[in-house]
Amino acid sequence: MTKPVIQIDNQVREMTDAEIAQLEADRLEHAADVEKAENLQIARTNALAKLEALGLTAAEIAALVG
Amino acid sequence: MGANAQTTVPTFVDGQVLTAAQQNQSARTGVPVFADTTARDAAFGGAGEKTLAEGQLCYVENLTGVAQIQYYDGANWVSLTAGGLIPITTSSFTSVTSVSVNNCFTSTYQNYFIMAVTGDPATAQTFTMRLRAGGTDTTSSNYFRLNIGIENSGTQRDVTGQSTSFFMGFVGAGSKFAASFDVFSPQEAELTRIAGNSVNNNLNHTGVTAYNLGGWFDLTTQFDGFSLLFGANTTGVVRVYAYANS
Repeated sequence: MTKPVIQIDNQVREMTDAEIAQLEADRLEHAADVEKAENLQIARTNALAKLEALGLTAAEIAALVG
Repeated sequence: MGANAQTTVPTFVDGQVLTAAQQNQSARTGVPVFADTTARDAAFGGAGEKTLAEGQLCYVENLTGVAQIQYYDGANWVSLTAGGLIPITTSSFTSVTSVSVNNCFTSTYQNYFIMAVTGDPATAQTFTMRLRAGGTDTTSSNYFRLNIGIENSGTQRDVTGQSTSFFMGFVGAGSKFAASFDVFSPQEAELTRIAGNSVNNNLNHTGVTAYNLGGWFDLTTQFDGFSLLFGANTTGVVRVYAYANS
């Protein structure tokens, strides 16, 4: 299997095993970032729906949460 | 008066016999052109060579990838620019997972401006940035991030908290990515901070996302370079500039 390629200044080479391990660790960290951002958005949407259900107008909600 | 200061700019007449001093003076008044800084530094001070002194001008064809006109201020070579933004280096890359730029942050300048533009990553990815010291990425969890993102649909996707890199954007496959950001004090024994913006198509390629990029590295490590990490094969260009202090 072809190894990922990186560029350092003008040198292009394949990743070392250590660099591949770091890339895999980065991907796990990035997946967690995506999940966290999506969960934050879901929570925000739910909160806005609850405020609307309480009878707040869109203008009032915007004044409250921006 | 410096060693190379002139007291006259001579004009010679037909038939005049020129002394060595007169010919040397003529030879030394032009602006020499050098291939790079190594050739520049080797050209002065040796046997039969001019003594380097304040006021010397030169043209360097390749100063970390960029041609520069420089003057010697008596201690250092200083690049001449028309404005406050000094080109440091440009790195073009084709189908690589990351691109690293070494030795772009030096003690000559305090703050830097980085502009990166890429084409499509092979697959949807999170783009990030790491600081480098001595040719090695710093991967410790000392990067604190505060990134406010909004999609054109109105969906907010913020990325905050501690990490092993600075966040640049969630980039969908088939998306163009562009970022411009400042790097504050990377070479000082001071927190290195970044602030800027990025824009690209989102991970699902259903819209455009704009990010306000912010963060800091919470140790006083002195960095001399950085890496942009794409996670998948990506093509583009990154340009580094330094800000001249006012």
